[in-house]
Amino acid sequence: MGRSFTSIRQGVKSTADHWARSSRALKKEDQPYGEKLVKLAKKHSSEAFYGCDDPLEAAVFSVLIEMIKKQEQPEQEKNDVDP
Amino acid sequence: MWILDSAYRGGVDLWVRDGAVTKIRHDYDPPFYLYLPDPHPHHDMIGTLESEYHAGECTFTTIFGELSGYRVFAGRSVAEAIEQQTNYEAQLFNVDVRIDQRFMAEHGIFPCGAEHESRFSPDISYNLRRFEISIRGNPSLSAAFTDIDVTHERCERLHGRERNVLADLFSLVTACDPDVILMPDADTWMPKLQKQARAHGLEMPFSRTGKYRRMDARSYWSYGRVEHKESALIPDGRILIDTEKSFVYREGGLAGVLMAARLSGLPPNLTSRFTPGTLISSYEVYEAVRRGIVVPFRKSDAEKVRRFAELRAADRGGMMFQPAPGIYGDVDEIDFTSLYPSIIVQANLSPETIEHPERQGFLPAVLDPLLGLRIRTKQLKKSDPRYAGIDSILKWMLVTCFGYTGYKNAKFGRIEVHEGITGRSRDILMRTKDIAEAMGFCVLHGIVDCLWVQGSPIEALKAHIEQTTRLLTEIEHFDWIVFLPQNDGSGAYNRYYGRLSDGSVKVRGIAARRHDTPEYIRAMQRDMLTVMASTATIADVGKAKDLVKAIYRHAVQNLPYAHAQDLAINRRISRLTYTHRCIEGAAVKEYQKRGVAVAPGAKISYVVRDARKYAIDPAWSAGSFDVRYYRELLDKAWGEISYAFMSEKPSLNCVGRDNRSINTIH
Amino acid sequence: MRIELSKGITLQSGTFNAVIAPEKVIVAAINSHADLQRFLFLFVCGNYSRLLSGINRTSGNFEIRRAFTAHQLFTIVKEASHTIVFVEHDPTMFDGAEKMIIPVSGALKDVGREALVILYTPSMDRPFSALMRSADRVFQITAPDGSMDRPQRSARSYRIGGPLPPAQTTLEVS
Repeated sequence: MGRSFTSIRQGVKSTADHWARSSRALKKEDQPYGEKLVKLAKKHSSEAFYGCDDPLEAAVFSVLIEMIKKQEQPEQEKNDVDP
Repeated sequence: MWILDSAYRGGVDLWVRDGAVTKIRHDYDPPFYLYLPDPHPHHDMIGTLESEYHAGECTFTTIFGELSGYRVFAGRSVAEAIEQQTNYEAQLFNVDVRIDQRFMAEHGIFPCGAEHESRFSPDISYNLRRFEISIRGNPSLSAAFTDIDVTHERCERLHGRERNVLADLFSLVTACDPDVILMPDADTWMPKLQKQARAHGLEMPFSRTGKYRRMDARSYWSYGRVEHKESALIPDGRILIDTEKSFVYREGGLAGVLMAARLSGLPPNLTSRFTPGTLISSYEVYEAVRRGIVVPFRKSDAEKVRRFAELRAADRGGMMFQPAPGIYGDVDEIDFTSLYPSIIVQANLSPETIEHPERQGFLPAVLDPLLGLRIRTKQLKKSDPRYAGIDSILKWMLVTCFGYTGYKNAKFGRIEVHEGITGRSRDILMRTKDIAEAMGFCVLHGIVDCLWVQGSPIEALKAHIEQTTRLLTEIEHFDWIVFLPQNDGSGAYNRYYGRLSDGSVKVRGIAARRHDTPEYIRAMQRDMLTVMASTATIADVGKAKDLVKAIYRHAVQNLPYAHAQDLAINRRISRLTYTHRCIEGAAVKEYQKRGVAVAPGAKISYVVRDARKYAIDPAWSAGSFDVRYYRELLDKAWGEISYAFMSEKPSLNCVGRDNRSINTIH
Repeated sequence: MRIELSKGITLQSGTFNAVIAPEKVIVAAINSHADLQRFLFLFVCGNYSRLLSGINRTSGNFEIRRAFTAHQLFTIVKEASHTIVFVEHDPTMFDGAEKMIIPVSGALKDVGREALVILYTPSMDRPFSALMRSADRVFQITAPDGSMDRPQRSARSYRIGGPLPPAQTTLEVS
């Protein structure tokens, strides 16, 4: 009982499906980024669930986390190399 | 006095075993209770109740507190008439409590236990004469009773013309005078037995009074699935268990059935036929009556009004951490013992504590001894497997009490309690993850009440978690474990298999574990896992690849020559009509065509003769089968295992706190 | 107070209205309708709502109360003090509780004397047709493409009569 709202996981999946559909309308050279976006949206949906009730919010959270990681990782590698 | 059966037939009949079995009748005519928020408009009705049903003013206690109302000495139909007459303003209590259970609860007695025994003892002693009857034949099809195996002091086979077989069976039962009869598919056979007995002019001796109670067949929703219960003929004064259909017997054996009776206040004839959900609700009812608390008739108090954002935040399930699929070595699974019931007790969650958290809640008070008992049996079964059955029953009762709390028919449930439980469980799993990571562990996967971690020392982590959460946990060590992916490549939740440190294999969500997997395919996966289980490290698992692949090839080659029976798919159907054409729908139609009664919740077993034409045969008459269809199923099952050998997805080693890769952690 | 739910459909306070319409239409109305956002709005549904997840209302005047049993539904409707009371029909609500249909229908009518009551379903079924008997007005909206929503799945779902006419229909019931 309870569970009157669709779960965050399902909601994120649904949002990701919309984004996948929209990606098909992208130019051929842009489509791989669309596919990547779909993957990133789902990547952290289970964690996003802890603080987000809105599936769109969770999908965006997930994508942003991965983007920040990507941005900072080159910095990290530089630091690791330093003595 | 040791009560083995009870019934209400105008008075409360208790069947007591004390050397012999005797029936003791008690006169008992309990009232139900009525509360009217505004009695004035119903002045006349009250007058009628006073004159015809000895109604009188009184106060009574609900879990929320005292109410002033009336006691009415009448039954359910009068209660329903009061509802209608007051346009459902009337609140009624103790209308649908089983009368024999109520009698026992009010007098502090219970079935299947001596006076000095505690209901919450893990031990149950009983001295019951057993009799086993096994009727050869398929109970779904009409069969003649010409071949019956019987076990009492010795085994006998009754064989021959139906009249003689039945006469012999009945006289054996009469002579032996058993207290408990174990019979596979008893509930399906009994109505037929009765019919045939009458046809032959014989009298069935199963009931000690000659009379039987009827439990009607019905389908009902339970835990998101449709369940089906057969119509049953229940004898008086004797325990008759349908060993095939009884969930409680299958899990807990006779001891489990008796233990369930002791806890719920229901006789074993009923506990063997009820689901864990009904058992826990009956237990709650018994406890309420025992404490002088009245049981509401209808569930009319609704949740509070909430704003959209508030409800969306509350209406959520347990916390989960998605795994990265792959194979991992040296992983520990940390499980919280009976998490949800433990939260109810620890956080004092109950309908009346939502508004008044300072009160001692009814639900926590009632679940606490049950929880304590389960923790004891869980410990005991490690050294004495005899406690495993009882532990299982308790586990199921406790598991269903959570769902039951939110369940629409739960007498003492409120959705806010349900939400309070899941909310706290999310926090607990989160806190556990924090503790694990702070101690240098890697969290691989988590589902609601368990976590899979990599790292050491695990005992220290367990101790720290238990200290911080004040909840009990159990650890299982995996030498290696495979987390499977979903179709989109991301990690699947609760789909894994691995080798435990004792060499056994634990699986979840794969073909070998699913109920509907055909035996042929299940056997293939089983054999594969047996080979893999002989390897204790990830490297060795990789070496087993050729051997395991050979099993797959062998299974593929032999598939066309397999026995159709081994390809039977067993499913519990949830409906009789389907919106679009499908295999399961065709199977249901086939059953119906052959005159076998099916209802939602019933189990069917079928073989696919031709998938494209939706041609299905029930398992008992299956001959040929669609090799291509089953080859697909076989390949899917193989895919679950071969994933472990895929080198393209390297297993990730635990990345420690400082983001460096750690291969071994000490 | 009048509200235009959709083109050509105007609802008045002090009426009990039964509405059969595709989910998208109703969700759009609830999400974007300025009038619906002004007044104190009570959304009532069963356990599994088909609309809730599509609603994006965070405003304070949008409140929800769920009924898991027919008796709870009765209580909720009786206790409603909102300007607009919207009830999303749950076909399984009255399984085993058919006796509650008339009291609930009566309660909807009673509340509808002051409030604007909307009893909504995406498709007709037996309990709904019984509930709407005391409605002041019945509205049926079809999607722009003429399609109707598929009947909700339930343990027992009923289809009344034959296919419904494709045009927008308003049945006024005195």
